[in-house]
This record gives sequence, C-alpha cells and structure tokens, in this order.
Amino acid sequence: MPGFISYQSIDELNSEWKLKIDLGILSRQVNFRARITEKRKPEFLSFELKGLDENVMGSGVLLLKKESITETSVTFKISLEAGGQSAPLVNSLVSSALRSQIGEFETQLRKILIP
Amino acid sequence: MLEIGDSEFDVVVIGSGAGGLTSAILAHDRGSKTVVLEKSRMLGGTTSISAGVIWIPNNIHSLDAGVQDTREAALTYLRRITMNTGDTGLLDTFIDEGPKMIDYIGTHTPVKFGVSMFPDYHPEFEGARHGRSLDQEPFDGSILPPDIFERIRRSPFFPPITMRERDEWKSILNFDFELMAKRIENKIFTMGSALIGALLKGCLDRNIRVIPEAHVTNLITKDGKTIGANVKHDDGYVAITADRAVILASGGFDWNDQMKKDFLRIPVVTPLGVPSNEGDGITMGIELGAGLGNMSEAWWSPVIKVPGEELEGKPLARPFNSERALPGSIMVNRAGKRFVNEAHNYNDVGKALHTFDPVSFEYSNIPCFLIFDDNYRRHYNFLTIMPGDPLPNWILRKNSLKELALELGINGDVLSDTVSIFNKYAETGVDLEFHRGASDYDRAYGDIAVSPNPCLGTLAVPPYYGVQVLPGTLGTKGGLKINSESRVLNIRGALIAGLFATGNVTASPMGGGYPGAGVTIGQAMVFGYLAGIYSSSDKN
Ligand SMILES: Cc1cc2nc3c(=O)[nH]c(=O)nc-3n(C[C@H](O)[C@H](O)[C@H](O)COP(=O)(O)OP(=O)(O)OC[C@H]3O[C@@H](n4cnc5c(N)ncnc54)[C@H](O)[C@@H]3O)c2cc1C
Repeated sequence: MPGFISYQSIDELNSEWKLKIDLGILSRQVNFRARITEKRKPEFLSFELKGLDENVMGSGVLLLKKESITETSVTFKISLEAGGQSAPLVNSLVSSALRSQIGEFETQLRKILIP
Repeated sequence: MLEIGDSEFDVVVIGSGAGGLTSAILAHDRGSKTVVLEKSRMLGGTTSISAGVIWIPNNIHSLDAGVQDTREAALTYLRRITMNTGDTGLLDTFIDEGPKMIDYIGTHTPVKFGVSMFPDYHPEFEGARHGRSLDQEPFDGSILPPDIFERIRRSPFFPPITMRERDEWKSILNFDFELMAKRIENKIFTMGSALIGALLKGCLDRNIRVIPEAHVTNLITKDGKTIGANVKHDDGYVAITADRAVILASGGFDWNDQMKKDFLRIPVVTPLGVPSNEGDGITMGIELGAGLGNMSEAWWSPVIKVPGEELEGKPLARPFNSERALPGSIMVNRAGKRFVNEAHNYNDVGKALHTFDPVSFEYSNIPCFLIFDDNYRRHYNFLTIMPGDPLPNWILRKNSLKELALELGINGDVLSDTVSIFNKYAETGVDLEFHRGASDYDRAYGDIAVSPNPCLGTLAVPPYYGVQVLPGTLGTKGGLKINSESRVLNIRGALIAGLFATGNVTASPMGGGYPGAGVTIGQAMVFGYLAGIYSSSDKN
C-alpha cells in the first residue's frame, strides 16, 4: 500500500486522504474521510477511516515512544474492513496487501499526522 | 532458475505466456535443451491475467462431455466467421492439431481442463456449437517454489473462480465470496493464472529454465540462420545461443503507440494486456526480413477506464460483458442513438466502435456511453461495484436523461427518444433494431429471472447513470507470417531458418474473426505445440 497521493485537511479533526492501494498488480486510488478520535501530542493519535467511494471502514492508532535521545519506538495499528457482499474477498486481498506494505504506509502516515 | 547461468541452449523461447511455455515443454520433450526468456519481472504475460479459456473444436474433453462436433462443422464455422480474411491453410492446421495439443498438454503436464458449455460467439452460424471452450481447474500455487509463485499475477479482472462456476452462479450476487477468500489465502489460482501456474510447474518438473527480467533486444544470425538472441539482464547484455531454433512468443504490440498508429485500423486503442507487450518480437522479425499479416486487426473489446486504477504502472482499463447484456442498460453514441446489439460478443461490439462517418468526418461511436437506470443499479453489479456500494465519482448520476446527456455530451432529445423506443422493445421482448437477447450468446450474460427477454429491461427509474466507453483490445493479432509448422516466413514467402513464432506475435489465421471463448490462447498453444515439435527437428 505505498503511499498517499494527497492529503487535504478539512478542519482540526477531519481530513480527506487519497491513498493508492496496491492489491498485487492492480493498484487503485481509494478516497477516505479520516477523523481523528483522540490526539495526545506528540505521541499518540487514533483515527477512523471511511471509504468515500468504496464500502470500506477502518481505524488505527499511532503511538510514538521516546526510548532515548536518538531512538523512538513506533507502534502502528491499522485495520480496514470491507462491508457488503464481497467483503470476505476484499478483506482477504487487503490484508495480504497491508501485511506486505505496512512499513511504508506507516512512514507516510507519520509524516503527515505528526510533522 | 532466476539466473541466466550458462548461455548455450538448443531452443530459446522468447516470452512466458501460454504460447511460449507450451512450445518450451514440447521442445524439451523432443530432446532440446530449452530456456524461456521473459522481459517482465512477472511471468505469464497477458495469459496470466486472462480467463484462461481455450477454444479447441473436436477436443477429447468436449466430445466426452457429449458435444457433437466434427472437423467439417468446425471448418465451416471458422470459414464463415473469419470471412476469408484469415489464412485458410492455417485454419486447417489449427483444427487438425488442436485436439492433439490438448491431449498432450492434458496428459504430460499438471494442466487440468474442464468443459464449459458456453456457446460459440455466433451460435446461429452453420457449424457453431456449445462446449468447444475448455476452462482451467483451480491450480494449487503452494506447490510452486515461493520465488515463482510470487511472480505469477492474479488477474485484476477476474475474481478467483472458474469460468464454470461463473456460468453456474450467473450473477455476482450469487458468488461464493468465502470460497474466493479461502482460495487467495491458500494460494489457489484459477483461470489464466491457473493455466500459467500449471504450465510453469510443467517446465520446472522438466528443469526447463524460465528466466524473468530477461529482455531480448535482438536476434543473432549466422549465414541466414537464427542462432540466438541478445538479452538485457540485470545491468548487462548476454548473448544466448540457440543451436536449433529461436521461438518468438512475445505477444502483440498492445503497448507500442507508434506501431498501433502505423498499423491498426483506428487511431487510438486502449490495451488490456500486460505493459511489456510492445511488439518487440515483430520488430525483431522485421529485422530478419519477415513477412507481416493481419496488422490492422486486434482481439477487440469495448472498455471502460476507471480513474486511479493501474496495471504495473500503466492505466488499467476494464472489459465488460454482463453490463452490456443485463436488462436496463443501453449503449449510445454522441448522437444519442444505439448502434449495435450491446449484448453481442466483445470483439464484434468492439468493431462497431470503429464506424467512420464520412459526412461528419468522425468516428461516430468514439466515445460512446453505457447508460443505465436505478433499477439496474439496485439489482446488478457494475464492474467491481456491487448494488449498495457507494457510487464512485467516475460514474455520472443525474435525475433525468436530459441532464445526464448534457453532462456527457450526448444529444439529449435523441437519447430520450432512443430510450422510449428501447423501453417498448423491453416490454415486447423483441429488439426490432439490433436483436439484443435473440441469441444464446447474448442470453448467457442476461438475467434469466427476467422475461420475456433476459437481456431487455426498461430504463425508467431515475436517477440515471452513464459512463464513457472506448475502443480497446485484449491484444493485437497481426504480426509475423508463419507456416503450418510455425516457421516464420520472409516477405517473399521463404523460410527464415531457425525462427519460429506463435501467439499474438504472429499474423492470426483468424483474420478479423473471433469464433469463440478461448481462441486466442487456443491458437497460441496450438502453434506453440507445433513450434516446439518442429524446432526440435532442426539441427545446426
Ligand atoms: C481480461 C482478458 C481476458 C482474456 N481472456 C481470454 C481467455 O479466456 N481466452 C483466450 O483465449 N484469450 C483471452 N484473452 C486474450 C489472451 O490473454 C491473449 O491473447 C493471449 O494470452 C496471448 O498469448 P501470448 O502467449 O501470445 O502472449 P502473452 O501471454 O501476452 O505473453 C507474451 C510474453 O512475452 C513477453 N515479452 C514481450 N517482449 C519480450 C522481449 N523482448 N523479451 C522477452 N520477453 C518478452 C511479455 O512480457 C509477455 O510476458 C484475454 C485477455 C484479457 C486482457
């Protein structure tokens, strides 16, 4: 799932993300509405995602912990869940895509949410 | 497997689609040390993303399933459907050798065929049959080495089901999504990826080397004979020698804009195949003096471009079949008129998009539009969008046909008239203009729950929806001329020693025709089978 195509802030809590989701050889742009549900600067953030053109919902947390002056540990969790009849198939595709590309996704997300 | 290693072989095969892998297996089994060179990092070419169906009249599986077929019936049908635009000698070869190829591949490799009772594409023509198309059984990809498994594409066009399951379940609303999810988790391939997986396993079992990221740039000749190929691999070039022959199986010129402009019958054609099919084999053949044929033709299809979707970095377009055949949709041009039986096979509907109007000096049906109403939207899927899914912004929605027409650039008054006339046809069940739903082929994609005609329904419930439709191709089908032993012929009809070809790199004997589901892979495998056999009877 490498990468954001764009990020647009709507207000302090809401934003719209265009993500490029790579499902094997098919990649497609998915537009999400993101809502921050909790933010404790500078180390914790939780959010909800809703697909604007796809039947996909999700949520996630990002936790940064300073271990030393030079080291910060990062906990990142994201879950996306498709709805509708094709959900089992889409979930299976998305979970294999997420598993293989989680690192890159997290880096992108951190840059945007916690500059 | 993934390194070139030694560079001396008897037979060098260029391209790892169905044509290339079949020829490699036969060449090996006839005693040749064989290598397959593949330009892409992924294996299997367009074959791997296809439905993997193979059309072979008179094959043993169809006969066993009770299909009454004969050589004469098949030839009568083929002559009619190719309208004498193809090579009749090669049609005979295709009919005679096809059943032998199916026997061989079915008994000597892990490829397992099932019979689809799908009708030929013109079931009303003399000699047509139901049941000449063979489907792939699911293939267990976990038996492949992981580095090979990961290089086989999953189709972006088809879910992991077999064609027979699709025929049985009819609507996507009846699909078994749990089964599909399990197939992905358990590394089970279906359709084109199953065919490629099984053929690759056949190659691995024989120790045939299949090398990805090996881009053949040109052929090497000596005293008029093809004796090898130069390959760009990693950062350098390697010369690979072929003691007996080189077999070109490098697909069509789908993604070569200059060749498409130079040769195809219309200026802009959206490709559906893999981006590495750039006509390289045709260029290499021309460099050796090869004759060309059928260059203006392709396996046509109308397509819809979905913004944001990509295939290996290139824009992905989608073919669509049931969307044209289900009740409640029509296709119109900018004048607001229907111009074709929408439910016809994709090749013929694709050709109807090429109509040129000498008065307006335009292609009248480029672009054209698929229009449907809310009743359709609530009952059927549209490409990957299920009823109830949010509407993506590339599908236009308006409360009236007039508003929809205005936004899409269609003549709104004519569109309203077209829809009223179509709605009358839907009520009587008879499309007086284009006969939609009259043939078994059309009805195979219709909704059997709808009567009197499973392909006709009114467009009467707002809002109305519209998307643009463009001319596209599953692959081009003009290229190098070959003979009945798959040997490439030069421009004067003489043999080019040591050079063979199969698949979309060749001039298809089908000319402008598309007889039935699976003829393109069928043709690639039949002439690949022959290329494998005859290449291995040659010795330097
Ligand atoms: C959505 C879709 C569904 C389809 N369904 C069917 C179906 O069910 N049945 C059917 O008969 N047809 C179907 N087709 C069409 C069919 O897939 C192709 O016509 C067929 O697979 C072509 O086979 P091929 O072996 O000639 O080429 P390909 O399978 O495309 O293989 C050619 C290979 O050559 C490689 N290559 C190119 N240049 C070089 C080079 N310079 N060096 C090394 N390698 C090179 C390419 O990378 C590619 O891997 C479908 C097509 C699409 C898009």
